[in-house]
Amino acid sequence: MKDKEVFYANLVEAYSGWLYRYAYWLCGEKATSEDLVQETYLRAWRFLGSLKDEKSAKSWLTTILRRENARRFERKQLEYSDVELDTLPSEREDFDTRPEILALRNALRLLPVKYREPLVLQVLEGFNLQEIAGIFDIPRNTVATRLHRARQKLRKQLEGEEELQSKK
Amino acid sequence: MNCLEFRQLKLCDPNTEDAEANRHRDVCIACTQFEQEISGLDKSIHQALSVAVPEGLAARILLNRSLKQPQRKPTRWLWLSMAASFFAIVSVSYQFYQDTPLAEPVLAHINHKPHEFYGAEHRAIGNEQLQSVLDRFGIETNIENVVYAAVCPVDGDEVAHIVIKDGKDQYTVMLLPQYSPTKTYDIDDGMWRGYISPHPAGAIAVIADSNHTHAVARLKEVKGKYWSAFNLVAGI
Repeated sequence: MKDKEVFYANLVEAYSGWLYRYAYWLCGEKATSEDLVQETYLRAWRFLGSLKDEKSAKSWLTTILRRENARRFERKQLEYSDVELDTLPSEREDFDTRPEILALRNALRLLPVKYREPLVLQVLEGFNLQEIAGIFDIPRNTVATRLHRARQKLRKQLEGEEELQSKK
Repeated sequence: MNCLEFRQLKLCDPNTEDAEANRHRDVCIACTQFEQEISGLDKSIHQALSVAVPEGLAARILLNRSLKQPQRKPTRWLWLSMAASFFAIVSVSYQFYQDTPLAEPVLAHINHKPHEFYGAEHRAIGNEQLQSVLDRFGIETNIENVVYAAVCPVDGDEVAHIVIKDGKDQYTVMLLPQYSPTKTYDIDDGMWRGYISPHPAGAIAVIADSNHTHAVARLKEVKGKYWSAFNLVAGI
């Protein structure tokens, strides 16, 4: 029991920050993000015995959090595609507020969820293509295509924005 | 590697260390610039995505967990009652050993491998792959649209873990040869719904995601269907 508690505390220490940031980009609300992380860890505690390989803990926790978020939406009877990070502007104080970063954040907000999610996993936490494929349960090539399109879309949006700025 | 391939690679995985890509970059000025541009874009994305984590989050998580499972310091009276409870449980457990519901280890396994349950992009696997799993347990089937099949450890024993697409619904079926329950048990942990039933091959679990109301509504129907779809190979 003692070992389980120590192991669990290590998991909380190591990954709660990452899970919070990921949750934030899934739901766009601070309070909901923390709730999601709390629920994730409660479930993880319950099924900790099923985690055989410590190295897969981060992916395992991320998968649980994704699932908790999906359950939240199902409870609200909303479509997953309806996720809009509308609350972000009101919580700006938590972000880098330089204009170019704000423009990029806006572009990220407009990115379809299926492109934004793998990008968050890759850029923010360094998940590789295989790990992302495992979390989403999709082929590795599909992940590669989505990441490719995500960056292309961001580049296009940012180029468009630059053109607009230069015309003003 | 040509410029197009290099750029495609960098757009999906900027940090990849590919020898062929590096060789191309070293001789192509345009691709060197492209790599720098993508690297800069990723740095900016990282900054844009970064959000401050609330102070004391880890402590609150640990506190929340401990509050959900309150612990009492055992007194002598508590020790006595615990000992009495222990003997009662042991004797009842012994009587009903064969009826162990198995729900917890089965659900723990599914929670550990939820991606085997999900995934709209799953495609049916071949009959050979399915049969190679079932052969291990001396079972045959004519079931179709199996999207996942593997021999998995559950509670220290090997079981057949199968995922079936049934119309627009999806079910996990587990064949548990080491167990022989004497009656059907309901599974309902808020996340998963289903049954564990006696089966000629030992026990069979049929489980649906509790959020998928259509799949849950059909559980009784598919339970019977899957029960009769898996049969012991004649002579075993």
